[in-house]
Amino acid sequence: MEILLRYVAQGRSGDAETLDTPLSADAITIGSGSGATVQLLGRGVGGVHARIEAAGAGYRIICRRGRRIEVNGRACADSPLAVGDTITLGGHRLTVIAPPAGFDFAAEVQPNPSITAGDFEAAFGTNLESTWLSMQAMSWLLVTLTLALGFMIPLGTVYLHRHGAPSLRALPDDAFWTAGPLTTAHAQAVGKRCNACHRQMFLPVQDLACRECHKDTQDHVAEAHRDLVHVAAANQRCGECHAEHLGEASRRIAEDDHLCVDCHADPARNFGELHLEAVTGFEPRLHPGFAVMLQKLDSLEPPLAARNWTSERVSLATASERSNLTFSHAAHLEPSPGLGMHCGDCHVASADGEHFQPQTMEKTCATNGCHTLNFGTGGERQLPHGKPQEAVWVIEDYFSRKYLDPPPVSAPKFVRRLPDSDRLFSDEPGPCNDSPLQCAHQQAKLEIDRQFFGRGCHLCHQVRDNGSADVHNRFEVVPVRLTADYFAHARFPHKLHQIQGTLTGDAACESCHAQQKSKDAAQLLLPDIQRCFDCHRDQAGTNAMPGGVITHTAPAAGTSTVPEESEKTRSVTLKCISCHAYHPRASSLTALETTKR
Amino acid sequence: MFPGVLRFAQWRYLWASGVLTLFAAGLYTTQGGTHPPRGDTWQGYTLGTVAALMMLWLALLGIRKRRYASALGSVQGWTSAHIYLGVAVIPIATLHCGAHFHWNVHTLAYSLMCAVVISGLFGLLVYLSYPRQLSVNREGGSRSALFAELLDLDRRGRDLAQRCDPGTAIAVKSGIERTTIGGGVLAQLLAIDRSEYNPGGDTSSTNSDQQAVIDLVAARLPRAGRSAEAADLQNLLLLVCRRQAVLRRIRRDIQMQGWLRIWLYGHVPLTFAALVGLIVHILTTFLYW
Repeated sequence: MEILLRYVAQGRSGDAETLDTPLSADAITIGSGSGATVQLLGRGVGGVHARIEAAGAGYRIICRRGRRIEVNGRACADSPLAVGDTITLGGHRLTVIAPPAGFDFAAEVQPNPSITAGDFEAAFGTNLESTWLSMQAMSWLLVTLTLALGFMIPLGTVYLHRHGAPSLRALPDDAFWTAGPLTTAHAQAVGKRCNACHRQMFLPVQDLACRECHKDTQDHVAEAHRDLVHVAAANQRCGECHAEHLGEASRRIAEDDHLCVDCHADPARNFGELHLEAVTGFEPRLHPGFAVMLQKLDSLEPPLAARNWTSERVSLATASERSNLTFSHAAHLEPSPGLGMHCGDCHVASADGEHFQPQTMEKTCATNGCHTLNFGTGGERQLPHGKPQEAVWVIEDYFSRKYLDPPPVSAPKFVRRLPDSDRLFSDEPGPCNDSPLQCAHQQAKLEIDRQFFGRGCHLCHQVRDNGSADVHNRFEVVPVRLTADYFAHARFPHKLHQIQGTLTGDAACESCHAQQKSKDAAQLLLPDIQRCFDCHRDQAGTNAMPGGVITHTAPAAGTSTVPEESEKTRSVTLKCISCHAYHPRASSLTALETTKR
Repeated sequence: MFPGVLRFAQWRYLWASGVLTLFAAGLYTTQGGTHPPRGDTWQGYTLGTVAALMMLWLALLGIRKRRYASALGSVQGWTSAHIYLGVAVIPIATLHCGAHFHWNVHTLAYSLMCAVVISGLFGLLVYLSYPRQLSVNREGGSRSALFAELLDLDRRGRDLAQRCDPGTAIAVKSGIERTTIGGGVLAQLLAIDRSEYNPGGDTSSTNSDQQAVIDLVAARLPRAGRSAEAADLQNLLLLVCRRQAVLRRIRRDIQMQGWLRIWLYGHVPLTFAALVGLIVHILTTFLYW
């Protein structure tokens, strides 16, 4: 629409002067802003205060929200306008006049002549308080966001998870409360399910949550001993030692000797009823001597098959092996003209680097043709090992066939003679003039005697003859069980000790185990703790290293070697957990139970 | 004021915060053992408690400076301590958490705290540099005096324009009416000038820094037909040039005042958010112990 604004001001002569401003616009805006069609300064005038626009055949003035004007002295926010109406705003007057020809709307504007500098300044946005910025609003906004995203929404997901519902997409869940990344194993196992471990709010993670997965991990103090242990550590939570939310660093465990010594220094006071020896360090007189875990049959009285193996923990100084095996290390290790075997021929390290693979007749004794249970001409028959009755049947069968259905005579097959071969095949049946059946019986009886008491079983085993007329039930071989782990409570890395200073191979073994001269399987061949002290202490200090000591003289069976002063060097320090596991293996728990009984 | 605030009582609070930080570092180094230093050791809890108490105390400055009757130390002393201890809270909180930062609510609280300190440091920076520039810009006067002069120039400008030819009169008068001062946040902080004028007809042209109107009056001056008109145009030219100078000072004043205040719009809301973040951090730490 075409608009005429006529500004009226007092001239220098005191007369009213007018200035006509024609313009084309859809509406007339009134306000203090520079963009207003009619700019009126002063307090109480908004940037865009009101708007005059066509309304049907006439015009209306409409105020912005919260703004008011006076039309003909009446305050209002919205009013129709007619020629002659006067609008008053902040002392300014705007009168609607009849539009001259060519104009749709005309108004006479009389600005307030008494505008002060303060009013003038107030017409502009000259400080940040006059903008949309609001500390209060921003504070509320940030506080609300922090509270919602950091606490309320994650708290809501806790309850969602408890009812089996998933987290809300794109919103933080209770994993946002995590103190840090889990170890890889725990992250794979529980993912973002915090409540897998954090079962109760405001309560540290309880052992029950740990045990759901770590079923095989044993407590340091067995359940049965809890009441006998009078230290707080006996009731520690898993989490007190095993930290989490530190990434892979969480996998580190406490290595400080105080963890052990604090309690084990005074066992009489802390757990007197368990009868444990005091340990205050790994030095002579600070650590008790070794005790070994041995197994034995509860009785050697027949029937042996009904007997049980039991474990017992005894001092190494008085211990002797009760494996029921007859064996001479010396005979096997003696160099030429002996067998000249090596330790590793029988003792094959297992994957853990700590123990050895179980030794069996088949894998250890009969390997490479040694100690086969062949018999007969050419050694073509094999006696079953560990089954005396079946062995008798095999012998009887052999001689029955030999006399009742003899094979055609042929040249004996060449057979390699190995350790027992001179005796094995030397007893060919002599001439027999009785019936073939009687001859078979006689020769079978002779061979059975030879196998059980002569060249066969008796070489390694104790054989009991109950004198029964029934030869099938006459013999019992005393069962053999070789101890797999003499120190069930402790760890000893054989792998790390296979090279000791300049010693390798058998020499390294012999530096601790005096097997070279051992002819009796009852000898344990285990070194005592003094041998360990030769190289190890709990603190760095002057001590002997094996290379300087053992190269010259092989030590006596597991005894301490005293180094020359010039050969002394720093010891290899050990912590308690270097040899002892805080969480006992199941085997050592069994041992403890045995000891207690 | 601020250099005095920094030097308050012979750098008392600089020393205090330095000693506190060294104590915290010493305590941190005692966290031996199996796991890396972190917040849930007794040292970590101690450092965390110290940092939390410091945050609470730092927030109290907003209350203290409004209590004019308080005898609990001078506001200058509080402000000095606020600055130095505010900076010290970052290393102490970092030592508390063992510099373990992850995508979690704890790092959120730490980040909010750092944002508060950084916004405070920005505020310190502007307070150290702008007050002097403000005084120079106002030439010892006040903003109100500048606006009073502008109002007077506007009135005189309208009168003079009235006596000139209609084209000049409309251009000068519209230039006065459509002069923008301040405005929104960016307009104030960047001193953006969106002034316009009417060079004739219904059009509007930019009149940034009032240069277009000055050029228009200056161009009209040689074409003045009468000596009286030439004198009016001469006076008008002087007036619009003076107006340009006054407007420049006003805009610069608004801009510097804006920068002196704008950091508070971050500092204060972030302070509240950081306090809430601190509470959430403590709460969730023990909630999922």
